[in-house]
Amino acid sequence: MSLKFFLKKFSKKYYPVLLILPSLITVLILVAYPLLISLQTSLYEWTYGTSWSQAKYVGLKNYYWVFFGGDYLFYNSLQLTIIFVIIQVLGSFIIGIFFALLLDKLPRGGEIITAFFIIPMVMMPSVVGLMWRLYFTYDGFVNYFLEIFFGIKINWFSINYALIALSIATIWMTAPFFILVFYAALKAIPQEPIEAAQIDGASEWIILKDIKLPMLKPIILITLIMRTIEAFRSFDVPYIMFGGGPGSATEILAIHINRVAFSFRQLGAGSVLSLFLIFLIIIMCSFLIKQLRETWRF
Amino acid sequence: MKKRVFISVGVIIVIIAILITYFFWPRFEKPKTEVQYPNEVYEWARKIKEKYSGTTLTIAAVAHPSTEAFKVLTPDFESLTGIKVKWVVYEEISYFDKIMLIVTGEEVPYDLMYTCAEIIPGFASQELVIPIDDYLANKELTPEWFGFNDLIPAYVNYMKAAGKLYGIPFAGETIFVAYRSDLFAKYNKEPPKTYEELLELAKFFHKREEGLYGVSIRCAKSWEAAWSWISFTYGFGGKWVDLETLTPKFTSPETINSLKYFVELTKYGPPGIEAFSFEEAWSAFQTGKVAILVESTAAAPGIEDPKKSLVAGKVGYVKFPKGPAGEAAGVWGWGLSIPKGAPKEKREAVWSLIVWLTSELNVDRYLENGGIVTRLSPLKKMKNPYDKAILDTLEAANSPLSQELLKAYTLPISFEMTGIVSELTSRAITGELTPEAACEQMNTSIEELLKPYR
Repeated sequence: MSLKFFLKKFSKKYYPVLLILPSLITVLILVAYPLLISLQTSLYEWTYGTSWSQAKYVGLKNYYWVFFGGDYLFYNSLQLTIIFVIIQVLGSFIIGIFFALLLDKLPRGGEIITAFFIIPMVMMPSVVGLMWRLYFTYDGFVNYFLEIFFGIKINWFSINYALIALSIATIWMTAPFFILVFYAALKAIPQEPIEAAQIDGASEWIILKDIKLPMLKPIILITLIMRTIEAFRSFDVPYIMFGGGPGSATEILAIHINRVAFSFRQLGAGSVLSLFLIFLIIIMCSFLIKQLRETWRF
Repeated sequence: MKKRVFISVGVIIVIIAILITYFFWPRFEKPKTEVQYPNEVYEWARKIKEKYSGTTLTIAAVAHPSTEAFKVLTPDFESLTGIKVKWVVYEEISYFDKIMLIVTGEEVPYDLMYTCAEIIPGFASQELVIPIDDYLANKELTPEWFGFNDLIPAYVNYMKAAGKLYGIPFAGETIFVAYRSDLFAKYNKEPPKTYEELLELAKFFHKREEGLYGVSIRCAKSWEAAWSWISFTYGFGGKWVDLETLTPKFTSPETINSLKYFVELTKYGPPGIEAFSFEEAWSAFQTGKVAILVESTAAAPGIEDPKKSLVAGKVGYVKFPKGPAGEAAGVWGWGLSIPKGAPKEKREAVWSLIVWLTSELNVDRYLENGGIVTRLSPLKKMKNPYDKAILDTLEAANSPLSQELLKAYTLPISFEMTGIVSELTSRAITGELTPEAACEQMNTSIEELLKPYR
């Protein structure tokens, strides 16, 4: 085997690997390394504000503390997180698809209107949080309209309504993402099957259900995966609006991790919670990715 | 003839000498400032300028009325010393979470930072801030016009740990009661002297008129609920921790009763009180929605500012009421401290800025621009309607119960203890937990924290 032949074979086999290598190294440094550090920290009792040399190895004590009762708010936070993610993702998705379909029906001007939908997306989350915190005050913007139309005023800062208020604010911020993506996807759908269905007398609902939505399925799944990950990681708006309160009404996992790690100064337990959150996101997303693969296979 | 020439030449020489002296005599030009200061100030500033002109100092601050007042004092400092001052202002609610992360690093990007009573013991024991006693003793760096002895001792003490001073207090706060004197006169009521009277008055005024509520007090989960509750705990005879045995005392009947009382009091607040931070509690009173405000004395200047407050001129102030066990009033507040990780070569410049911002010389300008008092001289002038109430509360802060209250903050775990207590107090306020259950949980959690220190 000549050297020339060997190099040709080698480059054919490993050339793609070489191309991927820089990205792979970057990912390993930026993702895998912090993850390993978190894993290591989770096995130590380390008080926030002290040096690493003062940290004490405690084995699985932090895991025991989090999962078996020491962290009395963990299961409550987990439950709240799941409710919050479902409300936020489903709410944004339904609003997104509804408005995208409406815009698609417009004969003209859809592009201009979509430009307005970008505004909530480009606003800084901290500003969104502050703005909605003011809107939801008892004499604020939301209650003003509720009083005019329904004659009621709600204490949005009470334990019963805080999570709803938070969900509304986050849906307002995230729904435009769905609108833009779905609107672009609807515009890209080939018109032939729709026209054929219209000639055959199919109703709008049938066209939507049997043609448009199946064609949108891959994009729906990808956006749902992205939004689910984002929803699990939500921190800025919830933190600015309620800081996890009142009581434990909005203490979702991201807020709880912050509280345990930085207010209670238990970095080890905070790492356990962070790893658990990553694990949870992976589980939820692997289910959606499986669905996506099946769609592509189909 | 010869004599006349001699005299003329002599006169000309003298005139030339005078002119040369006038034009070429080395002189110190006073820099342009917004206010004219005594000569010794310019002399002090000249020495600083020689060493540090062109230096930039960065301050980690919180959004607070005193920060705005400091910003008014800064341009003159910059003109006098040639030092540039850069303010980085954080929201109060998240300040310590962020600053803790920054100051524990090897290189701290801030030359100066805000600290407060609650964190000084912890920061001092971890050596995150440096003691300033040497700077204070240096007469050249700390001139007479700084007026250290004019600072209220109760406020200076909260910046101390293990006998050393770790900062200069600039926004001293005690808790007091502001009440709507017009409403009290209308319904023929007297301001509260005891906890019981406070609760009765809150009940009385709650929804007495349309849009009127009884009381406003901070209850937010971050650390503010704990701040409000501890103000009542010691007056009930309760305590958070027995400092001699380092055991938590949250389940003592007095402590539980104080939480029950506090939770009951919040029921007579405006809707949303369960999430009220200082700004919201303050604003509810300023907009005339509540009859009584139980708050930090830092709220007072804003209440009397007609540009910010609808109730300015219609408010009376009294010291914090007495509990069943006696008077107890906490003393808290902000201070300026030097982070240990900050560049060492700039420390004298940093100290000069501390001296400038917190001096007796500038105190009137500082207060006129919304700064919060930590000095005796302005309070003794009694220029403001709230000065007497502040002095009375400061006197109450010397009581044994008050001293015990303040010692709770000297524990090395005070930062995390406040976080835990605040979270559980918030859950008691919302009704998620009964006061008994909240106290039980506090006891368990704080017991875990205290174990390693026994």
